[in-house]
Amino acid sequence: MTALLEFRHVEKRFTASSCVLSNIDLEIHAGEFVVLVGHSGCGKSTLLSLLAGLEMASSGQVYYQGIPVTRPGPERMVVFQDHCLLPWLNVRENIALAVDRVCVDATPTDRAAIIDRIIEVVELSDAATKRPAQLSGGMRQRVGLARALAIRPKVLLLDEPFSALDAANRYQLQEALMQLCAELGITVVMITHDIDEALLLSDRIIKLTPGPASTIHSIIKNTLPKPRNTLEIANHPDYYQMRKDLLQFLKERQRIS
Amino acid sequence: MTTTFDMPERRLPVQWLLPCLPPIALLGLWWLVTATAIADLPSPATVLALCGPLFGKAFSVASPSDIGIGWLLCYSLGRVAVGFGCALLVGVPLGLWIGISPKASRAFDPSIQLVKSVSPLAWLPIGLASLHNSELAALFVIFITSLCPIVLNTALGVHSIPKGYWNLAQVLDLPKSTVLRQIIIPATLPNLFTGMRISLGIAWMVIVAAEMLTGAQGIGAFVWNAWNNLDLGLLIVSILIIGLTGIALDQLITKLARSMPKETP
Repeated sequence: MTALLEFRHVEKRFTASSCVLSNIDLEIHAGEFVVLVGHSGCGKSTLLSLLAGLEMASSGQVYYQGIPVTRPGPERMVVFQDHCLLPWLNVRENIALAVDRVCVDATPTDRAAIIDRIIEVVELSDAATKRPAQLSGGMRQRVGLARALAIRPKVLLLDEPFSALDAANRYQLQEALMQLCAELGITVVMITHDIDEALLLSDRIIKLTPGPASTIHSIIKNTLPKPRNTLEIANHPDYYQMRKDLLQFLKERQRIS
Repeated sequence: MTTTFDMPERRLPVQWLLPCLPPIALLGLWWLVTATAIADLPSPATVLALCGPLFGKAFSVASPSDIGIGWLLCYSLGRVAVGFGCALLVGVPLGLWIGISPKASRAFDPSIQLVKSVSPLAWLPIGLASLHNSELAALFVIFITSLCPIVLNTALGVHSIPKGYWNLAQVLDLPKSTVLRQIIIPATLPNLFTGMRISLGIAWMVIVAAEMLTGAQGIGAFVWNAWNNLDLGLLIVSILIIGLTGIALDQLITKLARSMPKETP
């Protein structure tokens, strides 16, 4: 079975002297949920940009479906850290911008239904006609996520999508994301700083060494049985072992840097 | 924050009073100067007495050479509108192009800087010589004057579009027309309005001077005639009219700009 996404000896430099990522070799299979953890500035976002095709590797190659990634495309949809909502469009219109571009075969009624449904999933029905400026940070993140999910991408690239959410909203959205991605078979690569979030959502957790010249430190295979939910995962015997492993890793790196 | 919120009524008169203080002071000084006959100026009362008949027949046409001040103002505003409108038609697409394409930017930037550095009135002789028509020459000067700020600010607006919007357009693989309509133009509007404000301000200053030089009917020629007749009273009134019209034009663009949706904070 060939990997859906693949990094082969990837190195990324922004200038000759500053190496952000080096020696990255990684395979991600279809339907997998992969989480990236690591210290701030270790190149997690750069790794995501390489997958999206927004940045090109300085050496080595990133592959999608066995073909080198040379440009971005909606099948590898990104949920940006700063949401990237257009301020002059309301919630509906922001989502429609993506849906109208991608779902070209759908009738206008079908498109409206797709948008309605996803707005409901992220619980923004009351805010559908509001502009981003009228929304809280958490609501904006939800719109960004809704826009990405609405077009049912093959790969979803998430850069700390829940960082601005309060706990209650975060749990609810994590579960919605988990369910939708499993249902639609979406492959997810997500950056997070939240250990519990990593354990709840991931199939594998990839630990990146601190920069500069970050590389893959090690990979944790998440053995928690599915389906998972926020309350029950903490009861599993493997949970604390993996949690401790991650905490230790993050703490150690703090000492190094 | 709370004070303005709690007592808007109490603060309001002060807010309105403050901008009136300098003109009142100036008026006092003016009166003092004329009362003591230090300078050879008509007194405020004399000028005020002029206003009645002047505004009374503002829109009358006694003869081709004796047209009401209202019409003269309209002529001048009309010239500004035509010149400024043409500058918008040319300047906005050119500015967008320069903003989007590094090659266009490289090609046009030096020329625009050059044109920008020349006093607008220096173009008047060129206009007169090449167009053989003082009316067209005045329009030409207004066009050149308005063009640079519009082009430069539009291009600046495109340059200041956040990188995230470009990334979004790339990831969604949006067609060029959609990127232009949904991202570039709305994101550039605030800068475009800044350019329009600057342009219109300069255009209004320049049209008065251009009319003084060409003698084309308008508020500028009115000023020039008042000066030739040594009618300082009329001169003062026309300066006031020119100033107030300038403020009105500026407010018009500001109001337009305010009606646009705000950026995400």
